[in-house]
Amino acid sequence: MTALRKRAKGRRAPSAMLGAAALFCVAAATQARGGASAVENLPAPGAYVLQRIQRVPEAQLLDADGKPVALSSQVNGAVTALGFFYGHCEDAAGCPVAWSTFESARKAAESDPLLRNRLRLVFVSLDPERDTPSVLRILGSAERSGDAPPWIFLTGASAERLAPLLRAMGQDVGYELDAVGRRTGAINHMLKVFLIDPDGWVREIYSTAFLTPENLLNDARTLALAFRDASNAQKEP
Amino acid sequence: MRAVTIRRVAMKPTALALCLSSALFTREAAAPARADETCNSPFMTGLIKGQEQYLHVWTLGEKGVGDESDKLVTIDVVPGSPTYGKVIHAISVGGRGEAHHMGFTDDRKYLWAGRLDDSKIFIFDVGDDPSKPKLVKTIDNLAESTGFVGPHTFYALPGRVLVQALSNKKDHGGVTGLITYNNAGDLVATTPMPLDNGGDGYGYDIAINPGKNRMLTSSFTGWTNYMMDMSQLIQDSSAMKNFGNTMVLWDLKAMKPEKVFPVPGAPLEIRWALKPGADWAITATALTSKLYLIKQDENQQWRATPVADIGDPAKIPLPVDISISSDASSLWVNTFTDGTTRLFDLSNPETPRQVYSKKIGAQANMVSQSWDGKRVYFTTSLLANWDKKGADNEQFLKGYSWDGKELREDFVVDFHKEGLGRAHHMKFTARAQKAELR
Repeated sequence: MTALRKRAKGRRAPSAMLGAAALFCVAAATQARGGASAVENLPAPGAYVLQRIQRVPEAQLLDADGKPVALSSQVNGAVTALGFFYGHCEDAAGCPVAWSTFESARKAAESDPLLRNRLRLVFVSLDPERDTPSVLRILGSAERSGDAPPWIFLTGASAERLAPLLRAMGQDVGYELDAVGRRTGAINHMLKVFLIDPDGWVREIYSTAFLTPENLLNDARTLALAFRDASNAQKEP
Repeated sequence: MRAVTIRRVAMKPTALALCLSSALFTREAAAPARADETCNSPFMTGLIKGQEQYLHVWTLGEKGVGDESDKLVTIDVVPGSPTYGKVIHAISVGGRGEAHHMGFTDDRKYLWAGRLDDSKIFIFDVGDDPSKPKLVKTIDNLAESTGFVGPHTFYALPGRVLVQALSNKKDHGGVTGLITYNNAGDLVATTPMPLDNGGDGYGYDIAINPGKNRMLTSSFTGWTNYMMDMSQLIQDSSAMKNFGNTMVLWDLKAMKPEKVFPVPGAPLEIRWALKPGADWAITATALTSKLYLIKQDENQQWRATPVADIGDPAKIPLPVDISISSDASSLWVNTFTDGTTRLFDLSNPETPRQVYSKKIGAQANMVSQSWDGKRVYFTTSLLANWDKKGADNEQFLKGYSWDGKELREDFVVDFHKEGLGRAHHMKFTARAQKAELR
């Protein structure tokens, strides 16, 4: 086992490193998305209706202050893009794609009057053991940006407490094991981003095949046109 | 191309890796994933690029054969395994309802299987232990809840399964629609097939190109015809008029038809080219024995164009299933009447050429190939009342190796001798892909 892999086993990455990483990510992800190809032939926002796929299930999570929050309180009322991630992910087709898509979408939404005050971004960690509230605070502060739509980071009290939410959302995960059955720290998961309307209905799900900032923004604008009263303002618990 | 998002990865311990990966790989990862083992939904994860382990056959119960019930049969297809080429599991679902096609959910954990007669949809768990699929849910109210009958194609969308029906409850004709379920099996939406702008309202297969936001559908026939005895049907000139003659190009996001192509003679299976950047699709017509190419012309207008005959159309070879290679260079085409498979060279899709053929049996319907194209599997049943009679009613699964020149038979499972029934649609699974996903 390499030194790197030894360090990966269940240990929390140093906060300073995470902070630097998060700050770096803001720039790197945004730049990387600049020339990404878009899905062609998208209909005009508002010219189509997104299906009501499923209700967002009830779930208790932790926010960056370590306070328990209901997931519904974090998505209701706004047009919400929700993705699952974990801070130690390095699957290029996984979390980084969601991360950079959110970066690009948020940047575009900041200058879009339709979305600026209606779009909310939510990341829920798949790795409560390492992505603790203190780590979320670092990530959240790195992603705080002026008038841009809010980007909220949440985690679970434990992997076991998180599991029902993942099952209900169809977010497939598996914990990689080493030869003797111990977790290596890698979490195999299928990339999915969920677009949720202000009433708590999942209206689109994006996997790698369909996840681009343009596609996400197009659908978010469609929901914003249908929900003019939507607001991404933070509510008091 | 990225079709697999569930993967083992070497670990580094910091979130910095995430950001670096983002910067370096975003452009690649953003490219649309295009296919599975050459025919499944591009939205499905868990692409098996190596050796498939299990082959599942959705099997029609047959009177006088075994328990006479429709069943999902699982065969071990790992060379060298003690049970290689043997049936290792079978789960009967009760009754005979014209078992036909199957499709995975986007996470490849569940396999949906439909019956064309009673319109039941069976959902099997193949994620926990693919060697022993478990029936976890049955949808038995399709007709009542949608007005459509004959669930044929099951196509994964993220979090959903799109079902193409063949017929309708009202008159059992060919006018039908699409049904969207979420992965839990709850009805989400229904979408009628177009009856205007040249549309005939018929349906059959679904094929999606995510990068183009395009969906193609094809057209077959309704319940009255597909449940009729074949010999009676071909003598009924009125009934023979009730076959689909169109394909439809859809705006996938809006689920709205954009253009209807005239494609005479029941266009069936549709396959998009899997090669990145090759934005064309191909289909075969059952009654007119032609390959049609669907692509944009020099003016960026989508067209469906006949590009080759399949055998001698005058002899009605009845092309059925097709299987495209992962590099879009070749296409297996089965013809039911003569029990033959034909390989077409697609290096120029405008002019496909037949380069090989082999008789598989008295009748041949479905064909599935591995991602590398080195293994090709065939089954026999078309529809219970369309299969041949007497000694020609052979029912088998045959596994072959393909070396680029010759198909060499590796194993045969005789579905009559094994007391199973009529062998129809095939899907692959692999335990290694899913063992850790709990």
